[in-house]
Amino acid sequence: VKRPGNVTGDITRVRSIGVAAASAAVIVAVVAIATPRSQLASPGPLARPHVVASVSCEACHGARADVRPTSQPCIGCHGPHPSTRDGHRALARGGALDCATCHPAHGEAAGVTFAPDGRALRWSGDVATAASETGPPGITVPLVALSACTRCHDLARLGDPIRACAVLPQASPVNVCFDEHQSVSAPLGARGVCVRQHGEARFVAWDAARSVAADLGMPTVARSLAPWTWVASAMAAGGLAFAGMTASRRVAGRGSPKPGHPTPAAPVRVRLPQIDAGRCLGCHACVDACPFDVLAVERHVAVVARPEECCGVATCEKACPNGSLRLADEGQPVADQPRVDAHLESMDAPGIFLAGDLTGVPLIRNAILQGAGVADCVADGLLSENRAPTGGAGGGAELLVVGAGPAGLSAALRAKERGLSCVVLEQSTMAASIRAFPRGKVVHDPPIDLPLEGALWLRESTKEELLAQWRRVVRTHGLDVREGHRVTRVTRDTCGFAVSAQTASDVVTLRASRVLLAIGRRGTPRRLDADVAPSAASHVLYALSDARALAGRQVLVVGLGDSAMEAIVALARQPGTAITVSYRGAAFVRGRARNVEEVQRLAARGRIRVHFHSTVVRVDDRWVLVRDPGGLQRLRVDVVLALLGGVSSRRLLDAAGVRWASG
Amino acid sequence: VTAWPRTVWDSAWLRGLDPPGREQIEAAGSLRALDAGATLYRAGDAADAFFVVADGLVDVSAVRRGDGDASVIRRATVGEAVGEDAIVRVGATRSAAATCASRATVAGVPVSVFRRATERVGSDHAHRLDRALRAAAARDVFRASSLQRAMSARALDALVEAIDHRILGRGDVLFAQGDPATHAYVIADGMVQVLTEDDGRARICAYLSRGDLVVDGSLEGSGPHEVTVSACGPAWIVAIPRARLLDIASGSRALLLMGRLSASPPLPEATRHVLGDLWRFAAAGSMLVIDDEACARCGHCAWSCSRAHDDGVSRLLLRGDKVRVRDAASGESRAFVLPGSCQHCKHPACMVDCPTGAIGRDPRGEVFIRETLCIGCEQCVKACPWGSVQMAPRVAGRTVALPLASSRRVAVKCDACRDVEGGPACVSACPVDAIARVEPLAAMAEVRDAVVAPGPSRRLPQRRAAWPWLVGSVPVTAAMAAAHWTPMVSGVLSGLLCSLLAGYAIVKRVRPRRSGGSGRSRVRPHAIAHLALGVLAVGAVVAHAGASVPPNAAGALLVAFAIASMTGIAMALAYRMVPGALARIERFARLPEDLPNRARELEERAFGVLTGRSDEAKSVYQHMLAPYARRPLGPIFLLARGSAVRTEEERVRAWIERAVGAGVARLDGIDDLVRLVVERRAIGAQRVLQALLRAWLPAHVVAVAVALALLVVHVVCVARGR
Repeated sequence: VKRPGNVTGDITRVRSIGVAAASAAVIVAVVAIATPRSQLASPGPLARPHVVASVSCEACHGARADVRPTSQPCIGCHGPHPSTRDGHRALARGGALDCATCHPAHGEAAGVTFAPDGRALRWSGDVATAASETGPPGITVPLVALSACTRCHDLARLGDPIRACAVLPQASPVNVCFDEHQSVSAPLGARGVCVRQHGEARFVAWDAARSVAADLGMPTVARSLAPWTWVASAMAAGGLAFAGMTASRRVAGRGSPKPGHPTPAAPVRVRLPQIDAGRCLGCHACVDACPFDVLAVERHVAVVARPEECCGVATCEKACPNGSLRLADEGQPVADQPRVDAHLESMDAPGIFLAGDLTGVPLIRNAILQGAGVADCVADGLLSENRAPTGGAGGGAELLVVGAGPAGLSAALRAKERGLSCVVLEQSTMAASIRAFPRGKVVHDPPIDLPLEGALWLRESTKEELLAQWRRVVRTHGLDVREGHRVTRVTRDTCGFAVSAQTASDVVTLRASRVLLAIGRRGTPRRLDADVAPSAASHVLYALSDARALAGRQVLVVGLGDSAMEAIVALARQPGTAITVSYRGAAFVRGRARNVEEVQRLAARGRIRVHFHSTVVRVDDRWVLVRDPGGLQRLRVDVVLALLGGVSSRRLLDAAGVRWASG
Repeated sequence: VTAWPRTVWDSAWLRGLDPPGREQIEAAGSLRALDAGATLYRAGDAADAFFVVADGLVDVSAVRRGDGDASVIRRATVGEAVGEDAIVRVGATRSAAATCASRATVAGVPVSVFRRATERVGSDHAHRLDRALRAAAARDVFRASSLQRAMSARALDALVEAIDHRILGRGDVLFAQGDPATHAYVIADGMVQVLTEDDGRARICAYLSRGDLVVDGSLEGSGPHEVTVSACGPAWIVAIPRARLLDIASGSRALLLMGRLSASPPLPEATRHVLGDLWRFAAAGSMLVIDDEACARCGHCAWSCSRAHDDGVSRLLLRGDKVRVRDAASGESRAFVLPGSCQHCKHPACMVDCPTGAIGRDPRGEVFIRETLCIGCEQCVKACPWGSVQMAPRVAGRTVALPLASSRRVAVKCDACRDVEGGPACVSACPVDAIARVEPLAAMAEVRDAVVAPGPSRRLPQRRAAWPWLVGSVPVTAAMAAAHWTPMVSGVLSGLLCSLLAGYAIVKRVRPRRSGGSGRSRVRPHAIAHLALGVLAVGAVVAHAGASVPPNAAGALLVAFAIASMTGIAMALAYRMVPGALARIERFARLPEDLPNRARELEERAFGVLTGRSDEAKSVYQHMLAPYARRPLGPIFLLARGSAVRTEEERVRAWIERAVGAGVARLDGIDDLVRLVVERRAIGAQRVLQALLRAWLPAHVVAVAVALALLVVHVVCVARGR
């Protein structure tokens, strides 16, 4: 698959990744700005009583928020009431134990607060839940998680002093010994701090809090999901940006010819390349660009070798690197072309459109553009007549296409895209003109744009691949292509056209609002004018679709035009094929230089035998009678390949009312 | 009055020239005095001049066909010439070497100037001299060919009288199967391939090169040729009428045994693949190869290439043929992808066809396009047999030096980054040491054997292993994780390591500027360091943060770091393990975006193969092969089985044989179908593997970006708190 400029995913991906990373970082920045600073830096939510009391960070931490404060700020509010136990006092003196060791201010802090109505609120961090117990209003009892104690104590040891304090309910264990700071039996006066902190009814409150703790244990600390959500949202933003970039690139790569693409039209006057010999570089660019071998390089300068073959389409002019080749109007009007307007509608038979080779514009690409252009024009025309596309509901087709070549199929695809009902009639098989190319012929190089399909990239650019692609396109889009329908008559009636077609068994008539004739210039292959025995009819072929099928056979090729010569070259490559050529003329007079050269070489090598001035008289089962200047000759032949050009479809066009430029 | 000695001008070749002609030759040529043993030219040098011996003796030596070493085939004395082969094809290379047997003085005569000078004397004279020089060149060819052993000097003279010269281009047919055999041929320069056609498919059965005699069938009869012989690249072939050869041969029956063609055995199956286009390897001066089992398909080479050129067009694509070759030095078998990139041919076809001389070849053998002379005519694009030249938009502001030419497009191709310090950008950018430039003739055993290459053999590039560094860093990181550092120390260390890790992106994405073109990847050491530092960073972060995730920016940073390190580890594992699996199942290296199209194409092709086949074949396809190809989990099974495509094909064929039994004989074309469906299934597997290789990088980079942003937030928070 060729793509322009080698722009592959490898190269474009880097930008997508960059954009994704940048957008993720931006999300992080937005989160950081939107989140309060305390939450960005604190190790967890502040305990609820501190939140209720609106304690600021500075109240505990002072100027340095990253340093864990000592007990000093706590004593400032809560008063000094250190532990009564000797062990704890010794630890506190050594600095190994402070208030926050058992009562963390952030995160795991928990406790029970009795609301003014006496109902217990159990809190954990800054989140509170109501409990069923009641107690003295306005009193707060902190709960101590056993995990704080087990840093030093071992509950499994029999002699451990707090073994009895452990309550192990279904939730996390809690210390229910409430006599840490003051013995319950201490005199009342010594309990001033306790009263200030917890009120007179602290025993009741402790009991209530103890039962809350015994029922429910330590409330599970509500884990903050903030860090996870930040990272997840940033990663998701990055992922979305990456996917978006990738998808937009993919969409951009799938170009489709937009409606309104200029429809190629045949030049009105004969145009021929004019070469400025002083500037021509002799680079062969125009020679390679010309599909009809009009140009050649002689003595390092391009010359017009076969002016009669020039189609007037400026591929050579476009290919010329320095503008030394220009197409100039010779002045003579082009003869032998149907009169059509800019939309390819016949000037003399409105409603009948022409496209493809028939209009005098060669090349598959042009045929495709023309077909699509006609379908657009038909759709626009029907719309302006207030006949919205019916999609085939009204019996006849809105567009009837004759000829399933590149132009016809392209028109059918665009018609489907525009919602028109469309039928394609084909006298032989799909894309027969392409099928008739010699095997493996290189069709073209750059991609072709198809309606509905987008760019059609051909890997090997051979006719086999192009045919396979056509078959796939017709199959996937479900086009109504009827093969074996040879159109014999197009007549106008009240609401459009009636098209008669000859099939193998009978004649069918179809109705249509508009007709597109995309029948090319080949017409119907000219029949061999000889006496053919009925048993030998199957030995006479009018097209060579696969030379390999004739390997090892004795073949008589009748005719020496370009297609005959190409067939001869293809046949000569097959092992064991014996090729005889019968030609009316005296020498190689027609045809492309390359073909002539090749056939002459084959003749010189004795690979083929050529009978000039000869006509085929009779074809029988195993032999053929040929008349040449030497008299009648009997040749042993397995297959006769008659490549005599085509019978023009001019009569059909004339009957339909299409008139031709008189030249 | 001329400066060159009389002996030169009196020699058979230069006698009779007019004074202006002599002046021109003297001006363009050179007169060199050389010591005994000095080399005038070597085999393979460009041949654009011949030399006339003014004084002393010059030996012409070549490897005789069938010999291992070079031997002297002729000694030229005063007045004789050496290097006449330049006359046949300007721009060709020398087939022999010339050294001075004694102290010698030699006059070099450029062929183009010589032609002009002889034309001035008269076209008859020029024609006669041209023929004589060709005959002299042919004589040297015969002396070095396989015919030489069977011929006396007189026979040689008789033979040279009768010959004519054929100059062929790539693909030109010398003779085709079935053509009447009239001549025997000796290949004077270049290479030809011998093809037989069976079943419509061409099979290469031998390659013949310089010095080989091409005769097929019996020499006596003039029956048709049994084989087709076509030129692999530009070739100069000497044709001898069979009758004349027979005259000489009647003196020595041994000659008839020398028709190497009939004796040459068919190529073994394994090497046929390599040698499908041997000429490509033999012609390549410096070929870009990608180690298929190491390449992680990251595409960094193509990206670097597009960045190394101002037009942003990559000269190389990660798609191309695959070959398996043996290392010329160690004999070890390696698989390579040949990406579409210029291989700097020894006789560049593009250079010959350029009308403005914009393509040149520098002394190091690199072929380059002078953008100022390129007129965008696409001759080189058409001339390159391997499609390595492409058109790109001309960079705005750069103009064409030629008057009147104003194309907006220029031809571009790999120029081996001759303007970039530090060697080719692609090689220098590879994180896994997979891509390298090699000279196939020196480094690939098959090519050396087939071409009988002179010169020392060289090793294929080896990759530098990362595992010792990784293994070494694991205990260090374990020790770091267990260490008791203050949060400040571990935090600064983690931050430092993370910044170093992120710095890899700069190393990778910034255009290489440092010199040191060792022909090896500049990024590979950094990639190894990145992996090792990544391991260390995990230890530092564990030491700093422990296992708990605090509900703040620090916690988010830890989460982001964890994601970044996990995606990094996954990517490292994928890079290590996936390429090998991918190499087993792909026949042709493809980009991920090519795969859907290829799958569609394979299905189309299966229908193509089926047309005209027997009903049994159609039913086997419908009931067995099509479901096999389309089964959704098929690719996973293929991967799980771990077999190569060829093994899988054999398995499928055996499965069909079991199911069909004796009817298998009627299933013509089944092999093609099996190949298609297995490839169809392999495409699914390739998509899985390509995704495994490519999915991690975006996730890793995004996680790193998040982590870096959070690191900034974290550092700001900590610093503000202070």
